[in-house]
Amino acid sequence: MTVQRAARTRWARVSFAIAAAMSVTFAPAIATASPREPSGNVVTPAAAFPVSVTSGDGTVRIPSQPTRILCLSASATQMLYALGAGKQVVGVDEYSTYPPNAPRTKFTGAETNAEDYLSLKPDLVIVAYESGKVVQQLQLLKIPALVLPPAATFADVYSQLTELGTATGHQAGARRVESSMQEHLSLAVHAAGGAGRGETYYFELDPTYYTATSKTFIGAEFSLFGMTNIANAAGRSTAYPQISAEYLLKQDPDYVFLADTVCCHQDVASFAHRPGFNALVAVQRHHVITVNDSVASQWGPHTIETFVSLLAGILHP
Amino acid sequence: MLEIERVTVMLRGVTVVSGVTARVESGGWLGVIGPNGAGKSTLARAVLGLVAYRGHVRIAGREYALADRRARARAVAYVPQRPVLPRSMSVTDYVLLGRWAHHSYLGAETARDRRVAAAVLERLQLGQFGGRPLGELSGGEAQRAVLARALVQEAPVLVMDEPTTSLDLGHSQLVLELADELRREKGLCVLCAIHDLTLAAQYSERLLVLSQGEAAETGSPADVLTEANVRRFFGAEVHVLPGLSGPVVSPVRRRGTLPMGRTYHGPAPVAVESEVRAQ
Amino acid sequence: MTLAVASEVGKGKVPGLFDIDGTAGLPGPAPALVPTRLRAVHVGAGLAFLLGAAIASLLIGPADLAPGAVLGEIASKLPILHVHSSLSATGAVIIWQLRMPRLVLGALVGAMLAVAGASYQGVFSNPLADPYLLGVASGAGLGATIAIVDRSDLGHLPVDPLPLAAFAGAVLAVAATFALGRSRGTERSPASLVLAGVAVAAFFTAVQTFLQQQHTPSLAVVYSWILGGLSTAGWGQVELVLPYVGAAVVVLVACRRLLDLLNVGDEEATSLGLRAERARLVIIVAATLGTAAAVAVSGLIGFVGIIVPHTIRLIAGPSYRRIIPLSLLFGAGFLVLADVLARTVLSPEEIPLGVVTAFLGAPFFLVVLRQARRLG
Repeated sequence: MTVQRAARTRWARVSFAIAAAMSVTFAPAIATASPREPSGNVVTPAAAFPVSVTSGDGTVRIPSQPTRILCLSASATQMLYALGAGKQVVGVDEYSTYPPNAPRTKFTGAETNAEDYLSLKPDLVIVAYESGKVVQQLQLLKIPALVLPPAATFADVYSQLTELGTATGHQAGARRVESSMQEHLSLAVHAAGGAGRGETYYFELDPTYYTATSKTFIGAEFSLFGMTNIANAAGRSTAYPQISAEYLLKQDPDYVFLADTVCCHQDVASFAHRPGFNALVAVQRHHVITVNDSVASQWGPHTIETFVSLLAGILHP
Repeated sequence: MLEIERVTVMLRGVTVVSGVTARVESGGWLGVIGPNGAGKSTLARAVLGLVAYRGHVRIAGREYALADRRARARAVAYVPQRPVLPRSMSVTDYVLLGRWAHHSYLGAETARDRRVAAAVLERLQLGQFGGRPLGELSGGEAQRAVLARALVQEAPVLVMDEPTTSLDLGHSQLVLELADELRREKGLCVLCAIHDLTLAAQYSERLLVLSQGEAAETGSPADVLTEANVRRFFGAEVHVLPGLSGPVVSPVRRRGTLPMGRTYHGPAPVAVESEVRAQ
Repeated sequence: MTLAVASEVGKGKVPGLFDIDGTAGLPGPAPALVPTRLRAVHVGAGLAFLLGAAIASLLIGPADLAPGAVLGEIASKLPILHVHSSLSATGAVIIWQLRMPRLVLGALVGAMLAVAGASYQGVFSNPLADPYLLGVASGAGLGATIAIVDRSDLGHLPVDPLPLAAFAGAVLAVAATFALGRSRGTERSPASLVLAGVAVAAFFTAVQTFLQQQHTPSLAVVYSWILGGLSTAGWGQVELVLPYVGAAVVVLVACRRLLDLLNVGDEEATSLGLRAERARLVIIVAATLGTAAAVAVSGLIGFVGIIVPHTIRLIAGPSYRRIIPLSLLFGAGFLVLADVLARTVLSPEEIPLGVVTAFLGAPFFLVVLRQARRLG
């Protein structure tokens, strides 16, 4: 199961996304621009339906405001609850751990038979990737299926928020979450005070040195702070290359982030224990940081804000 | 009847059979003898159309193109040296394979096919073995089954390639006697490649000696099997004695002397023979 | 026998050597000869098996549909019985657009793999031959991998490129095998074909592995395709495979007696009148095309091509007149049944079909290996 999850997380990010060309630079000035709805007052314009939203490579039509949403994407779950659509959710997948009160089911999103979902009588199903023919089966059963593939850039995240807002009747909520996120991010970057600029980092996905370059979503988060990924040179043909221990030793990054703590039980001690690694600058300065694997595979508001705050705290304690 | 006219077979650039001409009348038996690698098996296979050849092979006056397999199967039948006997195939099914050229390409055997097969099995004393799998037959019974399969083809020419190789004397006799009886009764032409010279002499009306792919001698057994010929073609020292049913070739032992003299021409390269067999 | 008579015998126009229509020389009436035939009892058992599996497949599923309602829904489509369906609209969609196409696809794929496996065993005279022997599996795997990793480029085509790519890959691999298998001269002996198939499979698998390594995020998708499954939405996939599988099965069933003939080896079969290499070519091409089509939609489902023909061989004997038609029926039923198991054993999780057949097949394989020493 762990291997499957690791494969899924790596897969989930890139499979349908176009790799971002450059890291996202962020102007703090944008943050305070858009007006906000008073919090708690969520507008639910039922008359706005039916709507058509972008789903994967096409669109999907949602005839009326959904009240029984089955969300099989951990990131989308975070978004739904942030939007204020939590009351419309009847089920989330096994891996949607935030918010903790979301109604978790045994579904993983990898089911290939849409009949499995019928027990919940959903009127909208959200997935992060197409598993077999499930999306077409749901279409045959007249249940709208919304495919929100892994984000590669911040812009992808905001557009997914907008789609979800439209799909659930919470457009205003979507705008609110978007501006709140932007504000949070700019505050974090400001708090770091430029401490990250020029610092190098290595982001580990598994102990065999699979890593993510800056052309991934997680890479974009690091780029906010001006940090440089040591694996970019190895990322010519894929955004998730495998580098060698030797290369890592040679590059000697300032910071090391381990995202294989859950799948592969890695921690600071086991990392330092690898042959020759106790000479690494990151080890000596105690700049080896462990994070939950999900950081690299989820792009919901909660995950992003938490990780970016963590980064700010590490760079400028 | 069978006419072989200047048949030449080349395998991978080596001439294995060269310009052989022979003729077998209906009811006749031509034994093909010669040392290892002389081309006996290859000649047999050329007559069967199993190998490409130059020259002509005519059966009952008609020549068959290599691609015209079914017609040829109705004209010439084969008793191979080492037959493939699928262990679990029943004797009936195995013998009926010989009737395939007579019924439709994709279809099943007809009532006539079954009657012919039944008659042949009965004649070869295999009537009780119809339902048995081939793996349960003894050596002699299996050889009779192979002969039965060839006979149900109802072909006027029967080609036997070393039919006595894996058989003991008793079974060898059995098979050859049967074939002999049938050819006298039914007027079959028999072409039989054989290495046992005495048996060859006993059953063949005429002998053809092949040496290095060429027809070296033909004639009646008495004329062909002389001590000089045997020494010349086989490099063996023998006494040829007149027997009741044909000349008897009896090897002579001489202590301390090798039989090969300067007149021994030697066999064709061994590699060719074994490659031929592997085809 | 005179010349004239001999040539007439050759054409089958006169009583032949053994004077069958006269009875000269025969003591007593000829004994009854019993060649191997397809037995009605076996066919009946096969049909019953398939029907039982089909019913199970239609009634069992995660959406709780009452069995009576399901049967009523099916019966309501038969014009002779005047039954009204009590099933909801959703239920009807589930039956006719999800479960029924899956059942039909499973039957088609199972029948194809079993018949192809039996044909390969006959053509190569090897009880361990399976339909993937000449590189179909690795070719289809490579095609599917290319389609999956290049999804961003191919995603805008109106038709799903995955089965087409898998089919193309399979056909390419087998063509390469044939081209390579030409040994000395123009001969394509079974042994050299098999060896060429091994080499081609190794090469295609290597390329596939390389591609997967370059695109590790797509590993899970490729892997799940390889493990095999019958996920259907509507009748599209059935329409895709039906022409190929239908044609292949028709050809192979028609040629079943030729397989018995090939059992005695090329040389003897040729002397009996068969153009062995041509017959083998036709059979291999038919089996391969059908298998490639089946693999293109259902991934690599192994062991069906070995388990089913062998079980039939053990029960009904070695003649392909029985094995081919019975493999058709029992292969279809077997795969449908395996699919039911795949859906129910760990419900709601679905076990990939290839895993189920492997679990059933691996111990069976051992049995076959031991039997193979005794079978022809």
